[in-house]
Amino acid sequence: MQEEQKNVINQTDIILAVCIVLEAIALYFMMTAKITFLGTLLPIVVSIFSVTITFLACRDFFRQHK
Amino acid sequence: MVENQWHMLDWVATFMYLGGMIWVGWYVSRKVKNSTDFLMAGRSLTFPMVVATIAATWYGSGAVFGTAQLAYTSGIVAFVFWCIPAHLGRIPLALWVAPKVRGIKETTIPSLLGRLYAKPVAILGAILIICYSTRIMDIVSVGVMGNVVTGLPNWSVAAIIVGVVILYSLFGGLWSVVMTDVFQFLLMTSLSLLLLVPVWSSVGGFEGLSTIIPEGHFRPLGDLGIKDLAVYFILGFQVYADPAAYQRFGASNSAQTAKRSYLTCLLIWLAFDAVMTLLGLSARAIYPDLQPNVAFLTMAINNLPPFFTGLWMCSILAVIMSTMSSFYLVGATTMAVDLVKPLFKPDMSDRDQINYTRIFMVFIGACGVGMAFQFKTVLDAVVFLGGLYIASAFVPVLGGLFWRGRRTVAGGFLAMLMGMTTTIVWQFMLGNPFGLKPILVALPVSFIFFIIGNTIGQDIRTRDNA
Repeated sequence: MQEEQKNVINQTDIILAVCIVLEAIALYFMMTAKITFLGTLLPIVVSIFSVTITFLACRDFFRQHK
Repeated sequence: MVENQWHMLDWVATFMYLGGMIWVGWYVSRKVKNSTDFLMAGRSLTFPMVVATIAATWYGSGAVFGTAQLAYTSGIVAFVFWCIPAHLGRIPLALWVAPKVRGIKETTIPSLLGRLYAKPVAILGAILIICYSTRIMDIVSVGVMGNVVTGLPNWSVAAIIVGVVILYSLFGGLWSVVMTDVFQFLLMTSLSLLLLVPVWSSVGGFEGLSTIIPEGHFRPLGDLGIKDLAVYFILGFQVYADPAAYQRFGASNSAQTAKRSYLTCLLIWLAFDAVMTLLGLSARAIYPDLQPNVAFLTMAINNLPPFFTGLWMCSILAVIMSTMSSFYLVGATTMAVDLVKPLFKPDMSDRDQINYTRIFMVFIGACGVGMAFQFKTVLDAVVFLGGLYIASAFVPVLGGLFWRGRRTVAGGFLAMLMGMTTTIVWQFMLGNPFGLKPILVALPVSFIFFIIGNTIGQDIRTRDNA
């Protein structure tokens, strides 16, 4: 049986987890406070993220399969 | 209610998308050399690949139509009480479960159950996974969409889409599924935003919505009763035993990649759920008298120009197809590796494993199309199938990984069996008495029988140390 790797929670993991909680709080606030700007902010943020991830995934695929 | 017709340019966009996915699946398949490549993408998925495939896979019709439908009927509670707790509740999954799964050699949940307990539990788990992998809620969604847009019968649209999914998945297995997921992830995120921009402007944002839809839609818990709130809250945790997520964890190139990819997915899911919620609210404002899923689709068709309407429909298809492909592969792998191989063909070769997986993908897709239209709405299918899965798998999987007390084969077996049995009996024989959905009863029953079963037979810790 493959030996289980020791899982270390480091600073990056904590930062990501905190970002998730802060994002949830921010979105909750903007939705319950009826902040219309939310409908403008979301498209910008999500678009940038998704294009970046797609580009990096394709780059990694072609690097692995030259 | 559909004012703009489905245009020839929309058909062009649709065929471009479907043809593109088949081409990507075929192109990637040329890199597949063996069953590890086919089933586990060579265990070499990098961070952006894992993010895209997990994000696209988890987001199925339940998350899209289900969230929008709940927002349409009940308001922001869809985001506040279904989405937020679900995503925050998955942080432990990312931090502790994902790296633990990456560190073990078992590549499927049934094989994991076999190691944690014994073969009978693995076989029962395999049967459960296969049922869950039919993705009937996704097939219902595709059928509804296709019918609203084209007027064709639900089942015929569903059969065509299931056929395309199986075709591109057959080529290269997980590599084909992952790389089509990458493009489907881009499509689903960018094009739903394409709809939000004009719609949000046309309804006048929250200011405009406040004058049209009931005030209850803006309360954090809406007007939902405690029973409904409990169901939606619990459903958010089904991912703790999600076979497709476990497959991605196992296919990641390291435990750290598995962990950080999932944490990153939570960031994108929160934002995307908010988008779906705003779209659901807008659909309620614009089409208050339509059935929620029909209103959502009608809003898209009437607010986007030709070609972009087709692209938007493809983005929703992308959401659904990415999930279907992943689960067909999981279900087929389970049938081949966890049922046929141990029970009938222990000396199954690498090539046979791939061929059996392909055959079973077709079988699962056909079963799904055959069963899907028992359910009238997507949300009904989500609540039933998701509830069946979580009530049966949650306790034995997590109990096997983390329970520190006495643990026996009987505990795992009874927890799974009684979760399944309670769900089916409660829904189909008793008709959900007291208005309670099966998951509210079956999950506690599963836990109780886990505790009772753990008093029967040899302690697994003792067995493993012998």
